[in-house]
Amino acid sequence: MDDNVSEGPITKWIQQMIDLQQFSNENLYRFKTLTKREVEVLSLVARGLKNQAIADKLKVSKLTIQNHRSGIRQKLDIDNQVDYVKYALAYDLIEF
Amino acid sequence: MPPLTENDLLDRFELHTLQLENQLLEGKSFESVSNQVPYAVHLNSSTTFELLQINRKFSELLGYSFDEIKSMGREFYDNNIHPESTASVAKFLPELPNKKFNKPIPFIQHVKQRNATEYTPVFTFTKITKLPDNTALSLSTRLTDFGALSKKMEQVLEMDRFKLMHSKRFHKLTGREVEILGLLANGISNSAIAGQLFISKQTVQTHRKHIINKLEIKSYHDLIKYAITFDLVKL
Repeated sequence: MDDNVSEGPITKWIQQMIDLQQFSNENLYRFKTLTKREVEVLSLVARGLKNQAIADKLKVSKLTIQNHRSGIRQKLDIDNQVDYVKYALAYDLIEF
Repeated sequence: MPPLTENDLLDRFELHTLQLENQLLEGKSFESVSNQVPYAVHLNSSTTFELLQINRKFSELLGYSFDEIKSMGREFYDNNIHPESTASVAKFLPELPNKKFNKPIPFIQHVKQRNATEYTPVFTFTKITKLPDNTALSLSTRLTDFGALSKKMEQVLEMDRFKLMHSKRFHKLTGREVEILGLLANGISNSAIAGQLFISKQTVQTHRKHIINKLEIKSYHDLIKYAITFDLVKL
């Protein structure tokens, strides 16, 4: 490797990594309020599973999943799919 | 994806070190660049070992402010760095400026945090910089932090890989389609998009169909991945 390190992709790459780590540090207090089950549901939502698929997988009703999701939304103060993915990445629940 | 190997991690660390050196050579202030990286950073003289600059993380890692360390002088090294660690650095550091290929050197140091009785192993990368007086630049992190960070590296690397593999498809999109893709990823509904862009709902649906076909998207989750990797939403 020579000393001329290219700016650009690497800078961005490092920045993303740091951002994710920072996000994970800063929101740990929120994340910690989730129950085990909510963490499980969060990771499945982040993977793109629909409520019915999650219900089937966890052998519970769809309504139960909807309740879990509203619990997660409130505790983490999130409102869209990107946020679910962000949390899941920050706490290593999914691989991108 | 396969986990990062030790060598991959060392490569990253090396890159970060070189990048930081470049920023310092460009005249950016130590304060501004060193606090942007997730490591404890310090500059010291490669001959006298005198500490020249430290960042916030370094202060946190050891539990001492720069002024405290300064006033302790040599005592700081004797009390807070394991004597064998100091000895091993003292052996190779002064020789580095004479070496032709001056690469960052990784090693493990054992440091004592304020009021601690035990030493903590710290992973450090040191390089003699092109700054005046052969100043040495060091990046350090506790081994446990290194582990957490490596996971984040994997995640970001995987995003990069996704981008690489899908950029051909993505570039088939028109500007308008890219715009709509971003809005969809943010959870905006068809009718809200129609209102925002002053087009009919039917037109949004047509755009949407084209996006799905061009990107070969199978789920909303795929759409999110595109939006994240191509910077249409802020992660």
